[in-house]
Amino acid sequence: MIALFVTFFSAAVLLFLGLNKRESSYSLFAALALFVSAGLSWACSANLVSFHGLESWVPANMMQFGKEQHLFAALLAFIVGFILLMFRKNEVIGNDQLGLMMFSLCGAYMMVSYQHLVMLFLGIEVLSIPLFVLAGANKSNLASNEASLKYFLMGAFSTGIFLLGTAFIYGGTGSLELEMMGIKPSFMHAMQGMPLPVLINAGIVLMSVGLLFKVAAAPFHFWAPDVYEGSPNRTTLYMATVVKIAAFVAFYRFLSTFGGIADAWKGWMSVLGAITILWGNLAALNQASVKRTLAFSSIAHAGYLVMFLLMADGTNTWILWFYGLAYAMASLLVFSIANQVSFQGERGFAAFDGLSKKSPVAAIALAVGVLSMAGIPVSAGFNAKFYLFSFAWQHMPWLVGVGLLGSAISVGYYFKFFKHAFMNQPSNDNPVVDRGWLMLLGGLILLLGALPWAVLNVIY
Amino acid sequence: MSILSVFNQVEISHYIYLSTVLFSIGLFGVLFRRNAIILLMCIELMLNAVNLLFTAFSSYMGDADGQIFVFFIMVVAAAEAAVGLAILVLVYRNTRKTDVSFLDQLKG
Amino acid sequence: MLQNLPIPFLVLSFLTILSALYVVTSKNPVHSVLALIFTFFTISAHYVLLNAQFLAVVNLIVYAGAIMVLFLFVLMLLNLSKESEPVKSNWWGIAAAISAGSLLLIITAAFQVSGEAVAKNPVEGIGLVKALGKVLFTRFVVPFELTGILFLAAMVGAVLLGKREKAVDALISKEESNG
Repeated sequence: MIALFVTFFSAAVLLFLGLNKRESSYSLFAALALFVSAGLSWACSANLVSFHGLESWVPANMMQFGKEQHLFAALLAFIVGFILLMFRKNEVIGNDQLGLMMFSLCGAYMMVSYQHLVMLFLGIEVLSIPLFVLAGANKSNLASNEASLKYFLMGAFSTGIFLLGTAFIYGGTGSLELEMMGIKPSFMHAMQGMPLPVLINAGIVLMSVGLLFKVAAAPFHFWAPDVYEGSPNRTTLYMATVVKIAAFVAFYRFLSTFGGIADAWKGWMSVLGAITILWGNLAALNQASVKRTLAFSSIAHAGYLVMFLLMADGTNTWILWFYGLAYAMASLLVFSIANQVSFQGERGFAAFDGLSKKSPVAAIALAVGVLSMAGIPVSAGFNAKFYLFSFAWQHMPWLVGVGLLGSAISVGYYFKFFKHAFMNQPSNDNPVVDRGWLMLLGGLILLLGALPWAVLNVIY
Repeated sequence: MSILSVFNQVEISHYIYLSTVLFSIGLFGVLFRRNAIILLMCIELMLNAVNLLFTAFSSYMGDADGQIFVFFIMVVAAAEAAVGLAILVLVYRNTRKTDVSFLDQLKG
Repeated sequence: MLQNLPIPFLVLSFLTILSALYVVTSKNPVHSVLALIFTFFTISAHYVLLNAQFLAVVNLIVYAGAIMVLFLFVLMLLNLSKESEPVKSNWWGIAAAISAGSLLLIITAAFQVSGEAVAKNPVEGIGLVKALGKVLFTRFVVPFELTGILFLAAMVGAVLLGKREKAVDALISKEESNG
């Protein structure tokens, strides 16, 4: 809750700062506010400070502020803070765009801590509506226009499907609160082995389809590559990390309410997860554009996380937290380097040519990020995948097999980054700046890879 | 008292059927039409089908939460329509079209 | 099954479905908007039947009054009323009809088979502004406040997209090559 307050009010202040025209300082101010939000949320989760006065204002049946919610809020604020920090140099970001990104983050906070379907619905919309605009922020660029319109139409359409599911669940359980939905008579029936009412089953399926649209899992991923490619780089990065993590947390909370009761969805959902993993990785293999490759790679990562949803029982959210952290840091590194080297409009991998000669530090940081995305040992991504797969092994061994196959395929396209960065001659002289931040992120990834428990014990 | 004691003569299932028919008409429109403004209208139709279903459940169960949810859906629909039409105007300014076939520019 | 239903419900449902079909199939966007407004009126009448009087009024004010006027305004502004839309092939229409129809069939068939009913417990006066206001401003006050963020974001976003930036055009075209 404190994160929501700090983020919202600093975004509002930022909007008023537009009266005074020192644009370079906006990003720093926003990043600072977000790091403060992240720090306060983390302090709440560790019981160092508490904001009971603020939080008691929110009824417990609307939003919940436990340890996990604070940690996820801290993670999301941390990611967005870094996005703003890394992208402040070579793109003009107006205060209105920064404000919109922070409003969108408020929606993500609602999605990770909702207890009532109204809050989930509002959270999804507060998250999405600023993003429709941010996707089209390069107003004279047709690709950006297209991304914006496509994202908007898909978003509104999936909201409709999601809402029909909500209505059915409301009719079936007679309540919109997560707590109440679990103890309704129709549910008690289901506990005793009787079939779940059609209304609830239809509701679960339709809501899941709506959320699968949001996380871009196959076969509802068709919009994602185009939208990711057309949007400005920072918005793409935001969509690939924050939107996915928030949607998966929301999805997880929703499904764990129905956890042991309705197993029917597990069958088709595991099939969708397998399709997503294979499709994402195979399609990424023959993409010429860097952003499209990363878009398909993020679809594949959504597939791995669908695997995580199948173990929804409310006890193992730390795997999602760790996976989200590892994936977000790797994406941050790769995207911010790609953003800098492709500044002159080169969309293909040729932008990375000769990076190791121009800037060895950036090349090594890129290598660490890519290795972490691929899940090679001694990187955060390896540990994240290891925890995920070893937990999933107890539930669905065949799906873990598909996941391993997908990871093997992914090495094929991640290798392209190495080939261009280390083996080719430089073809452009776009400078790489912010080496300090790149080194910091690369170091964090290696630290999480080498000593995951030491870090998790301190933070989690 | 209601104007007509609809609750005694109409079963909730009829409202479920009616809403599902409306929703399917909207879904058909979203899949079939090419003009982005009409797509937006079809989405509004889908949302209205959901609103009707929520209201029906709410009235039959005597629980106000469903009707409050309808308010929030309306709020969101209004915000979404404003932003969506702004995007449409932007696209129109650059392409002189509101046809979604323009959405085929970004390919592989 | 239909003959037992009261006439007002039947007539209203018939009109709703008919006008919704017209929204989807009409060639002229302005006709579509007008048909959609008519659909909203019939849905409001359904709300009155369902004892949700305040919602009926709000539906008219917000949807028919505000949102649809916005649509009409954009249609007139862009002068799209006569625009001829490229026709999709018949196959596409058939595919769309099949997918929408299968959703309809699956859901209705499932309810037909299960025949389950929702507990019927209508409460008098639930749809009046007094009762709804009490719920909205007590239990739902937090989401009510948070819709403020939604509207602020939508407003800033619409202005951001709508405003012309002459001075920044050069910067945008530079950024575009990066985009």
